[in-house]
Amino acid sequence: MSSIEFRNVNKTFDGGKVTVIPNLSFEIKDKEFVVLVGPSGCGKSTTLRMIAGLEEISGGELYIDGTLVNNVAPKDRNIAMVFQSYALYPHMTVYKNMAFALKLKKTPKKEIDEKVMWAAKILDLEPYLNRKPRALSGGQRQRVALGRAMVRNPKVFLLDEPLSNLDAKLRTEMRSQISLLHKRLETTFVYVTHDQTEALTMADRIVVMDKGIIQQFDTPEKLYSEPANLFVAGFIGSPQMNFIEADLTRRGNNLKAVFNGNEIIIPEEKARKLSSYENKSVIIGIRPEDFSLAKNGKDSIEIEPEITEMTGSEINIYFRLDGNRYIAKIKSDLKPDSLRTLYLKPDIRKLHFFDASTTRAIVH
Amino acid sequence: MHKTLKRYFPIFVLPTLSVFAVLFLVPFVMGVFLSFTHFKTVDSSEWVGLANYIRIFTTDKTFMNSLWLTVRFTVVSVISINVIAFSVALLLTRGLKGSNFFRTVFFMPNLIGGIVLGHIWSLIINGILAFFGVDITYDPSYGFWGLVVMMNWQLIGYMMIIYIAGIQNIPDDLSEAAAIDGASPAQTLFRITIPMVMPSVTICTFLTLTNSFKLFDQNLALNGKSADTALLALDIYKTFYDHTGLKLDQWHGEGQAKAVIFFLIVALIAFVQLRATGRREVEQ
Amino acid sequence: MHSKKRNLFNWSIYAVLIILSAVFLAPILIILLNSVKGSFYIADSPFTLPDSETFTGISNYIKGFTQSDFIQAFFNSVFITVFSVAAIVLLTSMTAWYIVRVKNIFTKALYYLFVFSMIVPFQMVMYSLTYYAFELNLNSKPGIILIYLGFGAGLSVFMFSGFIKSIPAEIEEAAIIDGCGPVQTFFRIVLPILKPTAITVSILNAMWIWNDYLLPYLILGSGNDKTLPVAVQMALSGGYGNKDMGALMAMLVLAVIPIIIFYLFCQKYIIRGVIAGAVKG
Repeated sequence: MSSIEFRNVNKTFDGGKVTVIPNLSFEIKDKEFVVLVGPSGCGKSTTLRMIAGLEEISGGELYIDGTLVNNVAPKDRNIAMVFQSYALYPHMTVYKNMAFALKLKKTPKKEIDEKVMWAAKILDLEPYLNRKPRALSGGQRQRVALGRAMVRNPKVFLLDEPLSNLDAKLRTEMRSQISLLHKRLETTFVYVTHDQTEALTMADRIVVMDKGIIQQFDTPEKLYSEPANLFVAGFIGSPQMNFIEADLTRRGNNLKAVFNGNEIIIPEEKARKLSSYENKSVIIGIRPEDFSLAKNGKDSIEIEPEITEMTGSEINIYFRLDGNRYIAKIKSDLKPDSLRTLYLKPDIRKLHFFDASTTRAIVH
Repeated sequence: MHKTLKRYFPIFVLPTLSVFAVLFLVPFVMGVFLSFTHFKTVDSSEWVGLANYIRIFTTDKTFMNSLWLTVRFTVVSVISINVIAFSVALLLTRGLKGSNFFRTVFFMPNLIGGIVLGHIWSLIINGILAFFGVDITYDPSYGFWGLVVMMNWQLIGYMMIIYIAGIQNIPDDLSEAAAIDGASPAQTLFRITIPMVMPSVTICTFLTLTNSFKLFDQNLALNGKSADTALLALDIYKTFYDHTGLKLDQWHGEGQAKAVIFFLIVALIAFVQLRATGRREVEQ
Repeated sequence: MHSKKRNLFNWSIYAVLIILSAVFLAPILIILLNSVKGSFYIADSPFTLPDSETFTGISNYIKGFTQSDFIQAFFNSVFITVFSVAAIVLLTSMTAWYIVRVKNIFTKALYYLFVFSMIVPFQMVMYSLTYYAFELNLNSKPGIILIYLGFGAGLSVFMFSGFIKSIPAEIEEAAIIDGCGPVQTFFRIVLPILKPTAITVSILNAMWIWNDYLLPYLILGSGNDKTLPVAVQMALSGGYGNKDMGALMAMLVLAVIPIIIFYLFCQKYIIRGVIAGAVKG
């Protein structure tokens, strides 16, 4: 049985005037860690809040654990939520914050104590139980928010950009803590973020959203190696994938991609799928990390680097073709002279082809 | 969330709203209506159109007198209170020891209620005037200035607190920059301090203005026995309650009309004030 | 040289402040001193210190107590002020929360109505309010509490609304997810967070209601239900000549003392309230 299922759900605001989510259908499996990712305003938080019951569902059905919950109150949905701003009760101690939900359910004191101490131990919050939120650091507050959710033993954990307010170092640390927590608690996690690195490192599967529509729902590996369209290809991966428009022409036995006076032979397996695009233009995508330096112009692109950045183990090379800017990421033990002409060889196994009008992927 | 809360209207809003409606809105609307009538009691009114309003501005001189008196009083009070309060605030923001003590002393008179306040000053002023063989009712100007002094005593502390807060909110770097630029104390005062506390000035002006204009309790206590020193609020009260016998319905109608005009003037002041603050806040 | 000049400057500031303080404290001191003098001597020489001839101890105070039902009036004021403030704080905070969280045309109109009422001077509703109060049998101590609620709701709703807007909605959402209904959310989460504003609102309302004269005079009259300001006014504006000055002085002192004690205890909150009120204004 799925943990959460959206069936043709649509969400409007302003009495139906503004449609934020036109038609959402997807399923989250039990115990999965699913990340909703996308740019600001794509509808990911709204989707999360619909699961929580904080936003009304304008149309369609939402099921949690097989039960229709459209009209079920948040407290009866057996979910817990961690907010971006932690939303701790400022006038209560850490202990009371975590115990609050249980107290409302009239849980016996002993049981409350057991549960709170259990969570406090896992999250290293024992020394802070009697402090109020204002006496805690950002990271500590975040852990209290997690503890408050854990204590309720929910079927689903909802997390709304929980790490956005932390500094970079803390963020990395908390990322692994949350992943560990997921493994330990064996509960469904639904996690919203705009940071694709977080998504890639933490998720079992990722929902990439844009303008309220799911662009792709897949594992991190698939999203990386087989993005379904230009949006997903450009969103996942940092630095961003390079895109260039090219014409496909047949020269003898080979299908070639021609751009900017450069020619690349397309390997046989891919060429088969591209046959209908002969003599038309497509968009080719190649990730910066899929380039290597070549000694001459065979199967390579001749470029003049604009800027080179050394980032420890790699060099980022910024170059222009036909006025557009592109990036290549090369291992740095090959040290190029930054002003000279270079030959970049793309790994032709890692070329992605997209239809220029529908933006959908043709072949990877 | 809104959906559930909406249903709780009877618990959250109804009690307050019903009391507010019955004991404020209804009397207010009735008041406006009655100003166009002659009425002995609220349920025995007779429509007379603008007759009351006309009488106020023509035959019955008391209204214009108290209006003029109130305006003079307000202007004098607003200026004196704000100048003194601001000066004292300047003195108390220099970090001198004991500033807190002085602040306590100056603010205390504000808490004393209007009636008690008026009588304290009545006794003192009459006591002083006794040396000259007169008392406060001897000349209207005694009553006027007595009221001004008393108003200052009561409000200076209050405004001073607001000015102190305003002055303390000026970032230190500004005065330091001025010192480096070689500004004299006077220049710092006029070029930096005063412009930066303009929001406080606006608020204090507004508060002293409305407090002076609407003054009643102190006026009654201090000048109750004098003839010509009734401010607007007291005049309205007298119009209602100091008459008996025939023509009572006329007096009531007139009193209500005076009250409506009183309200309109106060509303106008508030409106102008709001506009002025709004604009200046943006500039800040 | 510079520090000498600065010292002189500082000392002259102190001088000014001390003189001013004396002027400010003088009225109260004068009343205080006169309250322990015999009546005759007050009228005769009000500004002299009491000496063995004129000093009458607390006899003035005893007379003041008994003559004007002072104690009764004092307790009336306490009763009315305490319960009015409690009612106002409780009910207006609830209303303000509803108005801020439920956003529709109706609540918006309601909000503006409340703000509007802050401008209306009492004289505008004086006569009709008194009439309705008597019609509805509200001319009693509990009744006047309702009237204060009706008249004082405006300012309090305004102040609470301002503060509630700054409470992040997420905290209330967390409460909902934890299992609170609206009433529980309000009393267990919102109200505790509102504590500072509640204190400010309490103080502002208490100061106004305690010192109020006209409304209690019109509604409760000068009988057994009269409040302290009314009692003072009745006593001190009696006919000429045959006033017992000593008792009156004592009464004034007694009327002022509770306020001064209240002030010395709550000074911090009162001053905070003044500044808060000014910022909103």
